[in-house]
Amino acid sequence: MRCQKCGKQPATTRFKRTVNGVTEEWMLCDDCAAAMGFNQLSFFTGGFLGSLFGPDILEQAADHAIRCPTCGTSFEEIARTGLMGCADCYNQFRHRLAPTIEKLHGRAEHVGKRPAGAKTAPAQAEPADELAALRQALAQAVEAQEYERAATLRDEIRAKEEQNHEQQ
Amino acid sequence: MNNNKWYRKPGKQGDVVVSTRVRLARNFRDYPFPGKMTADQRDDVNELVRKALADSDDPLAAGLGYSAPGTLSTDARRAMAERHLVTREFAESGRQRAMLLSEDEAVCLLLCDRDHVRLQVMAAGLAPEEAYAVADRLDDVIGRRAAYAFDAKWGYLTERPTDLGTGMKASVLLHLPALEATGDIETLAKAVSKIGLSLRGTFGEGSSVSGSLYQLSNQITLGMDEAAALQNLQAVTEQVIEQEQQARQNLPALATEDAAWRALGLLQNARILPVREFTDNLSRLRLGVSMGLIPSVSPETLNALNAELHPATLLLGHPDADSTEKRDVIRATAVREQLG
Repeated sequence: MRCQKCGKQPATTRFKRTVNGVTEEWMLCDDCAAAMGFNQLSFFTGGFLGSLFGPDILEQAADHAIRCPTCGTSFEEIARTGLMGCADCYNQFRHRLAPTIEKLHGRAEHVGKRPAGAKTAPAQAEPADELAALRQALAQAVEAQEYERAATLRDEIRAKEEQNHEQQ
Repeated sequence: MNNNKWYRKPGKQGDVVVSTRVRLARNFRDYPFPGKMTADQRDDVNELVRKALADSDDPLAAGLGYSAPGTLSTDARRAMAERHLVTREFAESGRQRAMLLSEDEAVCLLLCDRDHVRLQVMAAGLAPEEAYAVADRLDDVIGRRAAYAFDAKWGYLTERPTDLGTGMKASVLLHLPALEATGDIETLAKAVSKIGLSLRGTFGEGSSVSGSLYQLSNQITLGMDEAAALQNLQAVTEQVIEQEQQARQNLPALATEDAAWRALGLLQNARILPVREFTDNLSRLRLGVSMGLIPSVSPETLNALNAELHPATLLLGHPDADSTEKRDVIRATAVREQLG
């Protein structure tokens, strides 16, 4: 496909934005994208997160111009720059960020230091935390080739999982 | 330069490990991330951190020297990058930021840049737990003053989601001439990447690695606690050390000894010493010193030379050294003085 602006070079960048409810979409070549201020670098390669979000999420972001109530940053901006505006952005866009954070870090949850006075995780999260800790210990045991310890841990994890299942 | 700098102290496993660095990324709950801060908010956060540390009972925290934004020249920042205190990207960016630095340069805090606080602790040799203990202590001093941005699931909240979790990056600077010679670096880099670490050449001009120095660092910040990440780094480093030592034993002994003595001869006698020639020969000499072939030179002397004789750092001590040619002469003189 040729660039929709110059009609000469091959289109490499899809750009979609919604301004005042009107959605515009272009397929652009590198030069035209840069000339129009849609620097491809910051979109797809320069912004690490931007590249991870991929075109689908970028489109979704453009269609829903929801902003963080605390700092006014839109999800589109976060997707484009890879930078969060403030701590509350993580809450405001929690569900949309989750898949990308999972891509970056795996299905992991924080373990380790907490700031003094930080609220501990909600009560129902405790079994999951315990399981996560056991799984981490298992990974480490396998890493260290401590297979006997790993086997014990694996049994413990299974027992815990069953126990959780029964409780539910 | 003073003699009390951290890199002049002997370190564990100093034959392979030059230094250890631990960095924590922290943000305050009640301020937007740096990209969204106003000038007033930056001033507030700079002042908040400066005061939290200055008012502390902890002598290390209270003793940190504060430089306000805009007080460090580009040359001063480049010099800090040469000594691994800040990134090269930061040094060249022209961004004016507040910093705090300990007298021995082991502790450095960069404020309101990528995150509100980037707290870094350096130590000689292999010492991830020791360096973290210092960082942890200072982190608590700041955290007691104002609430950090923290999420039960995602840990310490950072401007970039890549740093979520502990916000901790720990790394060691390794001298790996033998593994480089045998061509095993790439295999090693692939192997460590599978267990959540990364191995990269440092200070290369262009794509070449200068002085056979490599950086090994943890990549996992979410889902692994600090102690496990540090242990992981320590354990893998110990394995790399073993492999490097093994590879050193297999190097042609006479050629290695010859190269080390030639390097010493060149460094002791050169009148003009360009930076590339300096780092290459320092690396050959370092290999000889750590294999016990040249007892008259200590690893700490080599670390000091490496820290202090790169161009921007040299320029700080010699403001008249405003050309490469002049610096090459000053470098040669300094090396001759230190190597006797």
